[in-house]
Amino acid sequence: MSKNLLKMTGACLALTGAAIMPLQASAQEANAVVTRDAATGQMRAANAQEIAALEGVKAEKARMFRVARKDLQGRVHHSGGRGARMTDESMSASVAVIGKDGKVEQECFDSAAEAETALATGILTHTHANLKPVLE
Amino acid sequence: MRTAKTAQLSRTLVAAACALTCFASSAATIIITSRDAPGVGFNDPTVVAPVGGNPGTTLGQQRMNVYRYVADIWEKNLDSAVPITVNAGWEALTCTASSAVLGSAGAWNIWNNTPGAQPNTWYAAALANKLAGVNLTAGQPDDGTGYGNVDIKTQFNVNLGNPGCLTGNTFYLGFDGKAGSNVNFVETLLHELGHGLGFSVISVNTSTGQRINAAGTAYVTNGGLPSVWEQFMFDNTAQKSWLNMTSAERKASAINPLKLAWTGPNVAAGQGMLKATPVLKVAASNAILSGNMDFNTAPFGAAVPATGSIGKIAAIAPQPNTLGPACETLTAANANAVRGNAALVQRGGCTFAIKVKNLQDAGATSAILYNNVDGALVPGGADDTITIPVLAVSLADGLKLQTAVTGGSRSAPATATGSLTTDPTRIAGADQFGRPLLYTPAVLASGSSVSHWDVTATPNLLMEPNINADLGTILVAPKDLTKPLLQDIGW
Repeated sequence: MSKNLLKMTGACLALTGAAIMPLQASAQEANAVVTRDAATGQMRAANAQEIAALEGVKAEKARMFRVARKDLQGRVHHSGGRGARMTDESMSASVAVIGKDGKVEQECFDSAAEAETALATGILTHTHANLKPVLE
Repeated sequence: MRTAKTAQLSRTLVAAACALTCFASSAATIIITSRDAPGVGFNDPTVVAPVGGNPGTTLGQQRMNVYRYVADIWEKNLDSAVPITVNAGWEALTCTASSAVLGSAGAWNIWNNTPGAQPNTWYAAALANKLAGVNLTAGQPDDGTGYGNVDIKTQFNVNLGNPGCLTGNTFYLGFDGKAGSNVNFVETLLHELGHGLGFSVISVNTSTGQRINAAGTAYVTNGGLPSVWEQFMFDNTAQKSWLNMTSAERKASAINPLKLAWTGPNVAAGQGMLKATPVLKVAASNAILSGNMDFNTAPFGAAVPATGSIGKIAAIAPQPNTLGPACETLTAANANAVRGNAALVQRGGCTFAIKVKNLQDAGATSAILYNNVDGALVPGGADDTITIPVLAVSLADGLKLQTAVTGGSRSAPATATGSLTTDPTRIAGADQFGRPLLYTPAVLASGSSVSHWDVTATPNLLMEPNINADLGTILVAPKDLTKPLLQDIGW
């Protein structure tokens, strides 16, 4: 998905034939964006479409860096408390499997690894006898 | 003429009234933020028709509307002066045509030894904030994700229902529970946010029994801190609270079926909502064969009534040259035996659906299947044409029934009748003291699921591991035990 979006944005920029860059000349112009016009080769203010394309690239870039760390991150609070930032692995995860009878069964697991294991084996365990149903 | 000052005063009064109303009707505030890229997830512009009370007209709007709908339910059930923050994203999670990770959620931050909390105990951030009266993560450095300081992180599968991803079965985004064959997103999200709010053992890796150390940097075999959840976990086999267990003992307890009870006082006050265990009561002419039997039900056929007679129980004679009992059309003699009666048949030779259909066609009014190997039996299968109720009992009980209806003499043939009732000495989903059980399946391939109620609870509860079709959005007894448990841990 992210690669596709980048490709789309790249194509958009290629069509406009413009290279867009933020202008850092002065405080008043801090939010201005200029682009080199493909036809004239001259710098000019970016139009709304070009700015939107740039924002899209920035947002996607930011999103790509939003990958959570895989290890616990300790924290300290000024009150003396200690904390931890958790990981995706520690999240409860819900899975669904279409059974042989065609019905969708759903089960929540205590961790991502347990959910992935259930998917790999196709085994959901939530029968009222803690047994797997059998067809014959 | 209305002056500017008057208008301003009016606006102030209206705002004050609104605030009072809001505080009166909502005891907590949940703030949802999205991390979705433009055009994706909550920003998906795909035009859709409003569904089940969800007025959104784009897929993205409907998804956010469900989040808001569920957050509103939680707001009404919780009490906190500190806003609860939830970061949400729609992502491409693992899936195949017949299976998928629906989503995940949990407390993204946890705390110990913060103001208002029990010492040396881990809490989910939303609960720790409530107890401290402040947002404990405020001012903490972010980790570059942009959501590092939120209380709860959630993510759901953006591709669900597309070809190759639980093909054809998508998230149902209506509020009315009419999900059909799709996945009820309201109930799924309500459940998952419950985990994020603290309905979780949170700081214990149940696959190893290890806890997180006090510094919050690693899972350790010795010396870690318990979560507030653990103080209410009591193993009836070990006769120990999880607080007093080693990592190895916790690991064993997590897969000790039907033995791990919740002992919190708020749940205890509501546990009376759980029903007595349903049983098949057998009255046999040979009194020694009379008694109660546990049974399971099948996913096809009529619902098994809670009470009432199922009439005379009848066995069938072996039919030569068949795959197994009741695997083919019954002979005239066997059909005559089961007609108008509860037909007793052993497992084996063909599917349960085939057996029951043949019994039904012969005139049986119900079917009692029994195992052909030791242990209980949970029949699966499907056949929409089957309309009689189906019970399934263990091999031992099945053989006892077989003896009860085939023994005796020509002049005094053995007979047995059955009735459906409950065993008041055993509560479904509870231990011998009536305390609700946590889910500890022995056969789980990896780890356990102690952050859920056991699946034997009746009626079904929101925080069982499976999302049942009969769940609602009331979180207190006599409908549910979610809120009482959260109250036990400090909410």
